[in-house]
Formats: sequence, structure tokens, C-alpha cells
Amino acid sequence: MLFATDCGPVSCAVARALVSAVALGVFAASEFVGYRFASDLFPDNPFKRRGTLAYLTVMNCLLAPLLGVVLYALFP
Amino acid sequence: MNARDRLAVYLVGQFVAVTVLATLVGAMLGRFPFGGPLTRPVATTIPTWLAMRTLEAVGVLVLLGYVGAIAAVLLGGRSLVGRARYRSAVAITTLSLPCLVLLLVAGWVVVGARLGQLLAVTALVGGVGLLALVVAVTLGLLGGDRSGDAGVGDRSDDRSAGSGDGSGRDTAPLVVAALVCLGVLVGVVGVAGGADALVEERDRFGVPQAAFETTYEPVNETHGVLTVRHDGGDAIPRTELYVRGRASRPSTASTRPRRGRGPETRAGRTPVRGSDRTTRRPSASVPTARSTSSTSAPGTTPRRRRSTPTTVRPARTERPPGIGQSTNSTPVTSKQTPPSTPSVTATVQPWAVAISRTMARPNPVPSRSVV
Repeated sequence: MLFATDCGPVSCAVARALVSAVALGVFAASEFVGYRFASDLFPDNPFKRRGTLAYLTVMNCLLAPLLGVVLYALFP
Repeated sequence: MNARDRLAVYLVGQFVAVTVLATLVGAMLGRFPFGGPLTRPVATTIPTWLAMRTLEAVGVLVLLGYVGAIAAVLLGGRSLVGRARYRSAVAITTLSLPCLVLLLVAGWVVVGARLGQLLAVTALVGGVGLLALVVAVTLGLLGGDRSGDAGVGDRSDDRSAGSGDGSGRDTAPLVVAALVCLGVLVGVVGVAGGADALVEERDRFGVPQAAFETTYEPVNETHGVLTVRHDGGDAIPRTELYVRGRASRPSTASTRPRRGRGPETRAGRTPVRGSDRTTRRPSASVPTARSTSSTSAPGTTPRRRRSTPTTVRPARTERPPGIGQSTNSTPVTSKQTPPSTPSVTATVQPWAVAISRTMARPNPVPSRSVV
């Protein structure tokens, strides 16, 4: 599969670097927000808190690369 | 919204975002809504590889998430609400997937396969979110009814859950419903209208690209089964697909190879048939897939090997006689019979030099960008 970015005016290296930065930023922000919400809900229950955080991390690990791929394809 | 509602909205929004993005990426990879789900593109770049692997992980996680939701409702629902609500939540959760499958099958039959795939995308994006919303409202996790929470559960949870301002208790279901509707809208619009433009369309008359996987399963010391499988890439017309190679015929006079020459081989082609597996016996007139019998010490165990993606070569104008019917993703099996004399200690190792060479004409079916 060839993304449109491969043939665009912006080089692939630059596009990948920018998209990776955005994806990592989204991952970090989502982790922070999820951790805050889970900590607010389960402040004294580490089992529930850690379980929720594990789920959030797995989902964020899927969210970030998917977002990066879509952004990479949208990149001019 | 209190802490519980905020976390619920966050989880639903995260799930909808992952599902929508996975749907768009699936559309780019040619799987949704009109692509063949069994045909995978050849991963030649890091983004393509990342997209394929992430998409597969999302598929697994969605299935596991449904099982996890049932387990969570069964285990944790009783501590939150009364018996009637608990039973309702369990029934809704348990019957949701069978009902969804029935609706999809019915839609598939009524509107056809193509629109059925689009309905599947819609149900995937919106159905799970709506299910979560219904179960959460039934269990009293969202909204203002907290009667089921009183006196049960973790005290810290209850304390934190009740720490909200109380002014927006009814807004959580609305926010969740809005997220689900937005996800469905983006998913449907993206799949139906825009995702195809994110990848380059290759010339429909260009050279098709495909990947093949070869696996060798030894039957005994003298023969085995070589399977060549269309593992990804473009769909190849069955009439244009065949396997060409050489089948060796070890010498029956000696257990050692002749000095200065290897085992005798013969070349030829094997048509690909329509069945899932095609078994061919080597003969003088009908050669099999390329497999070389290398003389080795007795007891040598054949190994298995998985080939790398193979690029389909440009088409040839000639067509070998007897080309059969092959489905585009049909495993092709070439079975070597053991040598005629048991004294020959030859081990068939087709993987060692196996080259599944496919002659394919330009794909008449508009194909997606696969390199």
C-alpha cells in the first residue's frame, strides 16, 4: 500500500517525524487524562485503579498508531 | 458529572475513537467496506506494517472486550444495583452479540454483501457504544439514579463518585450518545467517501503485487507436503495462477549423489485448482511445484520455512495448458510421493529452493494500492 504521502511534496522522513510526535503527544495526553480520571474514581483501591489503567494503556497503544497512520495518510 | 461519569465518558470516547480510526485504516487497507477481508496488502513500508498489525490487534481486542464486558457485568453488577436491574443488565449484555449477529446476517441477506459490510462497520462503531450506554444506565453507573450505590461497594469509590457537583448528572448519557453518534457519522462518511483517497490507486493495468507463504509439512523421512498460499496482496485471477518449478527424481541406484551433479530434476508447471488443496503426484507428464530432493544423511529432519512476500512478475502472454480454477486466496498444495525405492535416503526439502513463481496478467479487477 502506498500512502499518498509517499508521493507528496513533503518528504517521508519529515512527515513520519511529525506524525510520530503527534501520536506520542496524544498517547501521553490520553494516558494522563485517563490516569487522572481513574485515580479520582478509585483513590483507595489500587486493584481497580491499576486494572483500569492497564485497559486505558492498551487502548492508547492502539489509538496512537492508528491516529498516526491516518494523519500520515492525510499528510500532503 | 462526577468522577464515575467522567471516566465512563472518557472510556466510551476512547473506544469510539479507536474503532473509528481502525475502520478508516481498514478502508485504506482495502478491507472495508468493499474489499476482500482475506486479502492483505504487502507490507513494504513501516506505516503499512504498523497499520496492519494495529488493525489486527484492534480486532482481537474488540472480541475480548465483549467477553470482558459480560464478565464485568456478571461479577460487578450485583454489587451496584438490585436484583431486577442486575438481571436486566446481564440479559442485555449476553443477548446483544447474538442479536447483532442476527441483524448483520439479515442485513447481509437483504441488502447484499457490500452494503452488509458497511452495516457491519456501523454496527461495530455504534453498536458496542450503545450497548455500553444501555448497560451503564441500567446498572445506574450514569445519570442521577444512585439508589443502587448506597451502602454497597467500595467506600472510597462511593465517596469519590459522590464528590461531583451534582449539577450535570443527567448530561453523561447525552455526552455518551453524542460521542457514539459522532463516531458512527465519521466512520460511515470516512469509509464511504474519503478513506479511499488517502492511498494511491495503482494503475489497474499495472503489475499486480502479491505475497506467498510456503510451508512444508513432512509426512515421513522421504516425502512431505509443500503448501504455497496466497498470503496477501492483490487478488489474482484464478485462470492466471499456476506454480512452476522442478521436481527431482533421485537416483535409484545409489544412496549417494553422483559426483559432480546433483539429483535429477525435471521442470514443469502445476495448475492451481479451485479446491483448497491440490495434490499432485510427480510424473513425467505432469510436474509438480518446484521441489528438490537433496540427498542427505538418513534421519535428516526436514525443516519448515516461511517465505517472504513475493512480487508477482509481469504477465506473460502464454498460458500453460490445463490451468485450473483457483480462488484468489486458495492454498496450493503440492504433494510429493516417496521415491520408488526405499533404499534412497533422500529428504524432500522443497523449501530450500522453493520458488513459487506466479504468472499473472494485469488484474482485470480494479485493485487497491499494494506494493
